[in-house]
Amino acid sequence: MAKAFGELFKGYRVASTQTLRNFCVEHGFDPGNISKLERGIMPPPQSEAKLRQYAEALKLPAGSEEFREFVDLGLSCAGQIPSDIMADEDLVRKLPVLLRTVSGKKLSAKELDRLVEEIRRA
Amino acid sequence: MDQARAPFLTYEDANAKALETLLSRNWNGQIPVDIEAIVEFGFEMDVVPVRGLKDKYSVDGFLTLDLAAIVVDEYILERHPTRYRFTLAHELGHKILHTSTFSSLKITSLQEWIDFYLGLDEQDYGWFERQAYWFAGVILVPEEPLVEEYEKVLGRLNSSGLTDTALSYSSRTQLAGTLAKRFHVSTGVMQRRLEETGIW
Repeated sequence: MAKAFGELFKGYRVASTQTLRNFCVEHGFDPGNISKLERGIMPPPQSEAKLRQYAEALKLPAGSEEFREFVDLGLSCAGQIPSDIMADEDLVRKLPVLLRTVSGKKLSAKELDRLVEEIRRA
Repeated sequence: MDQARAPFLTYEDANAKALETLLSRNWNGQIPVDIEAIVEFGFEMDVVPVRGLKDKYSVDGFLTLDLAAIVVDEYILERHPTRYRFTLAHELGHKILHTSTFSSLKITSLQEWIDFYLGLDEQDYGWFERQAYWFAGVILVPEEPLVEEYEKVLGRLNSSGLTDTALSYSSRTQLAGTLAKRFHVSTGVMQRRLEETGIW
């Protein structure tokens, strides 16, 4: 359900031609949270007011069917906790193809372990 | 596991691929190039901000193995738009230039990825990076609008009594800085583009 809401969210954002950064800067949202919301990793907020704020930022006309459906879907899956542990096969797809550090040095095995855990939660 | 070998690509190849990418996304010659829209809408890639990526690992961003997302340091995304734009352009460069190389890797486990990362030849790594740098520079600062903008800025300088050859080091840096603002890139990237295109 959270995934369906996320896909709907992203679909509306893309349709309104707002990039992730522009959308967040313009409306004061946290880009990390919005990205997680769109990918179904974070559940929608339980607050109807917050969902309405998102709907307005996504340029859904107030009172329209899309607006109502968006808020209703958000409310129906609010509070559902998606699995926050990414399965190993999903994790492999999200690993870096190349890692460019500013210093040009490779990361140590320990740093790689920590980074992998961050990717798992991202 | 097979080693990943960087393909043989020259600056001209990267230049051609970057222009092809721009034109295939209906670029109308406008600057600054909207790289965020190209990545998110044109290539339908996810942008995944991660807090602390730069501070903890000295990494601005990376392309994921499935080539479907660009993971980027959240602070850079929020506070350093020119660096963010370059990161997106650079990682898109890997996707465009190196897809066939990366697709053939067939990494299926975490250990295989660690072996791949630790075993990657430094020289090949350098070539992958250099090619993506070329691509990023060209897609953000295409030659044609660069020449046009350069002529405009130089015209203003000439009308104040300066000639191209008379430009001092600081004047050149200033000129590059002015152009960099027009294209929303860093002064360093602009200086490199002025050299790569033979304008300087």
